[in-house]
Amino acid sequence: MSDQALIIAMMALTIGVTLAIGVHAYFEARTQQQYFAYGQNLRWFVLGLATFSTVMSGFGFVGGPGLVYSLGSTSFWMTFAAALGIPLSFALVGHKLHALAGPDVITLPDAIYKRFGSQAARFAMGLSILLGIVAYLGSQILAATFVLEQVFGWSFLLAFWVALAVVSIYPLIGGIVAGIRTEVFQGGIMIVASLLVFWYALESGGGLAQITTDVASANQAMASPWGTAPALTALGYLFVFGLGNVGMPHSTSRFLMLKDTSQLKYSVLIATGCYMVGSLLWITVGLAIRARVATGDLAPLAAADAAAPTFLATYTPGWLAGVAFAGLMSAILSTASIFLNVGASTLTRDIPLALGRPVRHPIFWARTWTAVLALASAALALWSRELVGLLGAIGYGLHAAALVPTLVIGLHWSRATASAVVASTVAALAGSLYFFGAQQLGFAASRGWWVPAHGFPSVGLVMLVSMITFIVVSLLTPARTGAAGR
Amino acid sequence: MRNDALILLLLAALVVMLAAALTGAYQAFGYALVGAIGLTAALGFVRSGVPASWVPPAVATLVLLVSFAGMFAYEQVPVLAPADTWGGFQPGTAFLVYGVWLPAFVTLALGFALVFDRLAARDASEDERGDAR
Repeated sequence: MSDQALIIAMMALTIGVTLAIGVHAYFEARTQQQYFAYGQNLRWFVLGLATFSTVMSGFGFVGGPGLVYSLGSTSFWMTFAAALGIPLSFALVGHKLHALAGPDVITLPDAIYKRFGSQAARFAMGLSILLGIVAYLGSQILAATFVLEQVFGWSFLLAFWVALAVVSIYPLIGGIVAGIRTEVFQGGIMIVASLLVFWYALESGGGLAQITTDVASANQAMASPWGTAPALTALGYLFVFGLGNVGMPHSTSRFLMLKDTSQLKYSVLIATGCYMVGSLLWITVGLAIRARVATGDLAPLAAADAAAPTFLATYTPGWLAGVAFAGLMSAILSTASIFLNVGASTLTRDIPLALGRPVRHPIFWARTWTAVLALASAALALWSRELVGLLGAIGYGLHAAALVPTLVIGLHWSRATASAVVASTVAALAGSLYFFGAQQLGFAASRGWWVPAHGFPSVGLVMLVSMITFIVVSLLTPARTGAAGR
Repeated sequence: MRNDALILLLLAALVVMLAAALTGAYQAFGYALVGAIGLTAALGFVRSGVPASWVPPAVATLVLLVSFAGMFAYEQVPVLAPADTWGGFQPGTAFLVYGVWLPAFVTLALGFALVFDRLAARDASEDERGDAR
């Protein structure tokens, strides 16, 4: 069998197994508790592997190595931050959310309503989750399109519609049950791909010390702890991707699905350990390619994102490229499917409940909203691929800035108030919109809008402001807590 | 879950981080960030009456402090040959890899698993007292 045939076979197998698991899950996802919260019966091994799969998106397989190639160690901080962020999220919100969970508390906004007794807080949380998801989903569909184009040689449109179908069909029919079970399968593929590619990356450059020396020979800053970016950029990434990880609704909402709190004990080791293994591919592939360019073995790449595909095509056997592409597709599918489910739960349950208009036939509406969200994201992606890329960049930041104050501080401080939830969410939304205009749309250059100097990420600035807002507003407003807040 | 003192300390760390981010004082930002991570870890780990619950956040904060000091001290050391690397990395970057990244698994993830039973027992007794009231 030729290398290309092997790659196609492995990709087809990955997609086929994913869809089969989704169809099987259809028969279990009959109630809201099952469709949105895994029947609140999630166990430690599945929780650990699924958390890793969700946190490691397709960016870790393509964008991350590309950033290492272009910036050096700066990009390390993004992926290293998760090694702090994952255990922090288990310690900070694991027990708290499980304690709030129940038949009437199956989503994050439900939990916030139970904690603060405020529909406004529930609405603010739901809205910020939804906006972040819409901003992010289109970029995941485009990423899946890119993989299918590369592997099968299809036209953009054919690859796009197939990607849309695969990304949306199995979470639509099987809900979170399908999403989580496929994540276990997908996580396994990612681990194997990462370990093998890591080994080949070290082999290609004669070991880590030689790779570092080659990279530094061309540019010492690349090998330094900050890379070529300002130190505040790297440190800002640790803040944004470390603490910000606690605010990711697609991973944090898992804690509402636990069978019991004892499931947290070992799953934290699996989730953190697997993510660290996944980081090995992220950090070594970009360095290996940069070292080969520095020594003159390779011509400089036309685009940084070509680092991982170039490495696979040049320095690994064909079968490993098949495993790596399957891992990349798995990373995209696992993140996108959970986003779809969380978005559907927000539209089906959280926002209608916050407005006092609960829906009848929730499963029907959940499937309808899943399809609508997928189609809306697809339409946006078809309309402007550039805009989707820009929106994708703010999706993570919006979730981090809007949810971290409430989950990190609000669940642990009896003085926290519902007004603070709303105020910090408004600060997060306003700040994200402002910097979207200033940086992504170019208003800083064209209209003189202010942006932070010294390289500090604007997302980090918005997170800082929203956290400070949360604490200050809580101190200034009277507490009115829900049943769980006393 | 009063945690008033921890939250006020966190507010102070966040304000220092904001000021440092806007003025370019990256070392001040780094140390304040270590403080903020340690304080948020304490919010998640520490339970009153469970002294062991202080250990993971305290050790994590101490390791981060040493690593950040190492990064700041060795950030500009050049690498001209493989012998100049520490564990395969530029010395400052080695503090990042072996001081920030790898120990996080031990201090926070393994630390959480090791003290978990004590935290869970304390939470369960608090839940029972809450139910009784």
